[in-house]
Amino acid sequence: MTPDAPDPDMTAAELALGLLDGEERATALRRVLADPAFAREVEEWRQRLAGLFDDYAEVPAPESVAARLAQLDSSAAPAPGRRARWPIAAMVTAIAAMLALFVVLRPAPPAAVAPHHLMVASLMMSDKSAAVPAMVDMTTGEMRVGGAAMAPAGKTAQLWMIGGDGVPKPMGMLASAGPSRMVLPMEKRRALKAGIMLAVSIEPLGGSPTGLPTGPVVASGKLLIA
Amino acid sequence: MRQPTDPAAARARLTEALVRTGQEDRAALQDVYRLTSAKLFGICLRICGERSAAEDVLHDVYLTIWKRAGAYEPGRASPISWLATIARNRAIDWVRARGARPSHPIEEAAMVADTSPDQREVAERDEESRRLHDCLDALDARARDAIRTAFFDGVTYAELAERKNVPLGTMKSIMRRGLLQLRGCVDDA
Repeated sequence: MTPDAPDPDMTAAELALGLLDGEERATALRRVLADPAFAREVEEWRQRLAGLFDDYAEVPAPESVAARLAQLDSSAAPAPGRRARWPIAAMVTAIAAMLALFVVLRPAPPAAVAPHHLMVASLMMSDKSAAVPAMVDMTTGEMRVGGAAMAPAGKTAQLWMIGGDGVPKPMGMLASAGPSRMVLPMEKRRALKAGIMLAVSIEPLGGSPTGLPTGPVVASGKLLIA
Repeated sequence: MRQPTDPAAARARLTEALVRTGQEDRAALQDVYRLTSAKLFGICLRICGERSAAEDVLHDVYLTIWKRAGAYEPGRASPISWLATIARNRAIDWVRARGARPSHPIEEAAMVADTSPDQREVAERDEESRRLHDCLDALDARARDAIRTAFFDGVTYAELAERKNVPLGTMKSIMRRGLLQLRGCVDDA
């Protein structure tokens, strides 16, 4: 190895392996949100290395775990009506990154964020080119959506929620570049539950003039309990 | 439990159990558990390094599987890789949330080897796994060892450098060059 040559940039592999910590990890996770190509690279590394799982030795699991699982109560029930329509790999990566980012950015210790207080969604672009993570802190109403340039110049990307009544309700405008952050009022927060569809449509600047989506839907995904 | 010996049949069975789990079939979750718990417990034990923690993490892993199975898409990822990734990530989360890990891995962890797979395990590797292993074998010993340790033990750069007793910068160089070479080999094959 040439001592003077700079190291190649292997950040995606390093993140997939779990080598990074602290600020380096936080920076890499932010990059997953902001840069779909980088997010894909991380996922490719996960798949490239998956063959190594073969080499972990099997160890008989204790009976106690099976017994505990057999007593799953209704509080552990999965969200109803979930049917994935997005590439799972992209979704898992996106959600993991979003959760990690959230923990990293918050001053409070991670333990303070109870898992059921987080709702997440992976908004799959209609052309399947990428998945954009979205996350809501149900306690504070803070919502974050990963960066993606969805709207062409002169247009804006608007986020909608579609509940059981099938009527889209506006949630807010997405930033034209970089991640978006918004705070949902209590009444919108109350309407959020697992299985609700989130969608992004392209609208005139300032948002849909009608209160309903008027332009094409460019991304959508279901909300899940994190 | 090491049943179905035919890898394709084993994969089909697990996929089917996982899809049924996604449809909220509790019996199917038990099937997934029966088919995979030894592998996932091996992962948790290896990374956590202690049995009681590994048991808790394993329980948590199957609860996560129960909640997320509906999002598993057959054909996108192999079912066992999907499950193993959850186990590895959960175990790493546990270790990092706790802080330092035991300075000397306990006996059980040492027992969970990552070397000398028996012939049957080698035979069960699919094509992608074989290619990865061939490419790892082609790396120089230090890079191969660094990548394998990072994967199996879920350690950070800092921990890895300490274990291998090399400066952090050197560790990163070995790893990055090794990963670059590995990617070239795997993707070209």
